[in-house]
Amino acid sequence: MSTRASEILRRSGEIERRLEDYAGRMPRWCTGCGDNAILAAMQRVCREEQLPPEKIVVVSGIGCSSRLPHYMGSYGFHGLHGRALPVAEGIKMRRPDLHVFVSTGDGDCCSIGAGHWVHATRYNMDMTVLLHDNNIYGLTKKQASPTSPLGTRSNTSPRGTVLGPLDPLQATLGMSNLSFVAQAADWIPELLFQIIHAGFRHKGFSFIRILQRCPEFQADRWEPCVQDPDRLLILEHEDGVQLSSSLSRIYRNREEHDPADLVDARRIAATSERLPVGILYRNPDTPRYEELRARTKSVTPSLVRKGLNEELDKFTIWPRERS
Amino acid sequence: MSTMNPDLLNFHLTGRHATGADPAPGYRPALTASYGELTGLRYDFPVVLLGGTESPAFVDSLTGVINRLLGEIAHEGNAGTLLRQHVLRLERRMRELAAGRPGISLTELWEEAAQTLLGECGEREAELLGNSLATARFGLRVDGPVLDCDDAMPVRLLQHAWGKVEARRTGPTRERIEALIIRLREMLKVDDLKGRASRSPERLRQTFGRRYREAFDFELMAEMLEGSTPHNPLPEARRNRIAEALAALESQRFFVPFDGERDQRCHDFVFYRLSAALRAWHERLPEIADVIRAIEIAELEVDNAFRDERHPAYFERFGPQALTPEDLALFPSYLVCVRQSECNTRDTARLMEIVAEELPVKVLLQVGDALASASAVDGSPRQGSAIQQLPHTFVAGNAYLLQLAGSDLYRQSEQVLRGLEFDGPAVFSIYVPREDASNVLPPYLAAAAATESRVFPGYTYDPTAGAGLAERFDIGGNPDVDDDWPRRELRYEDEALQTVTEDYRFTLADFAVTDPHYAGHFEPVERLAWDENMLPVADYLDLVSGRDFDKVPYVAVVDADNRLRRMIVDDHLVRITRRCRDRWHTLQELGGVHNSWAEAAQAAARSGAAGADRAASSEAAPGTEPAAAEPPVEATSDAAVPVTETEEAVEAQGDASDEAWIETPRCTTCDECTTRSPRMFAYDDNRQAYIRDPDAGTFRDLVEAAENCQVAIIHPGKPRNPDEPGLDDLIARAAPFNT
Repeated sequence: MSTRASEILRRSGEIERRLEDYAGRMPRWCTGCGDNAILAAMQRVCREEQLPPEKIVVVSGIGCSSRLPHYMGSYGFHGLHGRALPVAEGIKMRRPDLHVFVSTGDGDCCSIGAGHWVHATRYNMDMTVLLHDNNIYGLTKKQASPTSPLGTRSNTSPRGTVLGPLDPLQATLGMSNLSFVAQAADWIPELLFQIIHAGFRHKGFSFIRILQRCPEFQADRWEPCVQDPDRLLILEHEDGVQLSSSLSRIYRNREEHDPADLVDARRIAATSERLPVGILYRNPDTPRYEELRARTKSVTPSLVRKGLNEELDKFTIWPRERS
Repeated sequence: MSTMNPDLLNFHLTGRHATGADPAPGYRPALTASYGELTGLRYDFPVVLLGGTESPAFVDSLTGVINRLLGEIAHEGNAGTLLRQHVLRLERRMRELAAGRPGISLTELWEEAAQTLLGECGEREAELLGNSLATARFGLRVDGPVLDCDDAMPVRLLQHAWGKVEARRTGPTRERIEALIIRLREMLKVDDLKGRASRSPERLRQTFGRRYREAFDFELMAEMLEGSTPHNPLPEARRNRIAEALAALESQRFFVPFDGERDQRCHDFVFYRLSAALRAWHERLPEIADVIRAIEIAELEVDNAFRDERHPAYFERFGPQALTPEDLALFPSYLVCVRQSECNTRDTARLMEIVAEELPVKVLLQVGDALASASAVDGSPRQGSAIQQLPHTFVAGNAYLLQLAGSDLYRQSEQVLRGLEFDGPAVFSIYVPREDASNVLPPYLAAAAATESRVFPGYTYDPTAGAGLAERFDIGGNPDVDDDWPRRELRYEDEALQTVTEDYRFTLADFAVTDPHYAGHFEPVERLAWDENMLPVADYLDLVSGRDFDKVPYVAVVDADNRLRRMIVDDHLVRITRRCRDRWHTLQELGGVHNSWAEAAQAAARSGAAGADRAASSEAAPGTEPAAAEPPVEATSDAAVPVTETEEAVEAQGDASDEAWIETPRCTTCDECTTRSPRMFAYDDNRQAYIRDPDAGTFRDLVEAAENCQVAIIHPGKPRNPDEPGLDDLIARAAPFNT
């Protein structure tokens, strides 16, 4: 409910928001770090949507990726290791009017927070989740993460890891109540922006795995892909992402993929020799927890008091009537 | 020479009885003879008022409730039949008990009826009946006050329906205000927590559990915290504005707090006088403006959209004069229940004001004397006769009008609901014979008779139903809409005990029989004195002259022993009846029946067609004008519109360029080049790098930046300064980035 006048007043008072309005503190990531590109793309999405900074909350866990809320000029919550998603769900539940972003890493999400990841996907609450996947624990100076390739030598695996990596894309595509799954690469800013933007526009749990370069501790991991665009497979669709003409000349491996087709999405994630970049799956009709559990009444202090009293009255001992 | 009894003729012409005394009362219209006792019939009354917010339905008939109940629990077979019989017996008893017990609840009535029934039957029967009623009682899901068709019913029914409609209509506003109050309180609370006051020793002490209070030195703690400056406090003006809006919303008196009880503070919206309602309406306008202003300020504040440079000036000027109908529609409407008999000419003017100014006021105009306006002709106007006629005059305005007899109230509950939901004035003109009327018929029957006789015809005028009168005005609820009077079968036994069936038309004069006030206008005639010169009033009015000296009009009535009688009607009442018929004709026209405009147009079309036929059959006359040429179609000017190309401009810079350049769209914002040489490289609006000034550094700087760029998008080009040392080596290093 808003009156006509308040709508006019609101419009008349609107101000044009620039990229700087979404800037927080000066980023302290290493130079050359892919996280910078992710931050820039996220700020561009906010500017594109003209989101009021006070209506944005960025939630993170622990890791290089999780420093991101400090660099956004919005509300933020730098939480516990692996617990970004439950905090974000709580925020969305209580304040559905806020735009919630989650910034998490391969250690934060796929290791200690893996349980929350499975259930947050199933809950499908409206938020945009950015998984900064650099295949290494960078903040603590190089330990193997669940997504590190087989044989990665690190401080915790000096002879190389003995287990193959976990594939976040395939894992997510196998989860229940799925709603939005995409993969992006930090070194293709145009697609990164398009994908985060689509994820933001999607009503539901938008899971975006971002291949992220770590020039300090895992420099060789994505370098071949950066140098050789043919190692990527761009998934194009009129409902997905579309390459500009200049990028089309560089990325020649392209495939039409309808994001509504889950079976095809799983095939691409499981069997493709090249790394897919684009929107793999999107279903706007997946039920959302915050809608299913939406309140029908506003909770006022007196309503809470009334409810509590009713509950407590159940334990009242009534004096026995004398016969 | 007329064979007419001169006494009767003289009575008809003068209205004076030969004996000088009025005939004994106790006569009833003959058509109502078979409806002495209504409690044995399953009809629309009594009704049950339905609570709950899930369904908009606000009323159901007792018959409907019982039917639905039986539909659910009484199955095919003997057991079901027995159950049905028992419950129908109970229903009849409930109907008997309901009369004269206004507001008794359905379940109370059920229990009471069950008790009396069980008390009357033998042991064996009581067991069976008890079982059936217990089963049925278990299946009964609804409850609410039970109302019979009487004087008090329209007010209670309307108030109940209005309350339900208003709760649903104003619910969202009430909820929004609650939500805004919570948000504004939170804003002030957060500001308070961040401020200095929250760091005082007392406040710090309150934040600790009692057990640990002794362990801390709160004075010292406050002293230490004193140094930390408050973080971003709300500006004073904004804080005051929020506090003011919050106070206005908290003290508003229009909406019952969502979870609270209705208290003294809240305004009343139900009135029993038009003057009181209008006064309240005018007095409360400034308050409404305050609430609207507070809502608007709060909406802007919670979204952080209040602009100090723009908005205060608007709110300073905002007042009752700026309220829009949409604003007013957020607030509860007013319900005024008045009785026609208590209204004077000033009330007539007030009702006009409500309708003319389109105030959100719902008026229940309860008519207790349907003939009040008719008696104006009588020379002795009765109280309220003017206001009773008023609603007709509002047709074509922007008010919802509903006129009906109380007996139709259940059947037309949908229309009542629509009137209450209408965003604007609504007038419900409802006739139920007043309590003190010494009416010879039960109220339900008397109300129905008023509609049947066209004395109180039912109609609906719904401004939202469409653009034209045809959609908006509806008289479909009346019997035999196409005719002057409804035609009914009158069956009786003659002297030879043979059944005789006559067509009989029910008129105002027949209805007047039920009103003792009109007794003097009738002269009863014994059966022996009946002759062919007596005509029923409707037939008498159909005579061309309307005054045939050979004929006298009569109405068919029955006496207390149900014997058929005729009563001669005097000329005065015949005039009133004729006037009633004329008014009905006007309503018919409005409702699209025998519409004079339509009939004239039809006649014109018919004569036009006939004329055209004639013209076609004759030879084409010389000098006939040829059909006018169609006006030339204007040529659409779509020529010479240049087609603008929207294709992206092809990048001018290419591999062969001598200038240094960056593939900006591919920049990943990694800070590498901008940190290395901030004067040479800069970020654009999208935080992607470009070469701000190629002369701000050396060619070496450029080549090194290209080598360190993570995504290799810096192209150094050719050196600008040919004297730079080590150029050959640098050109060789730059070569891979220039291809």
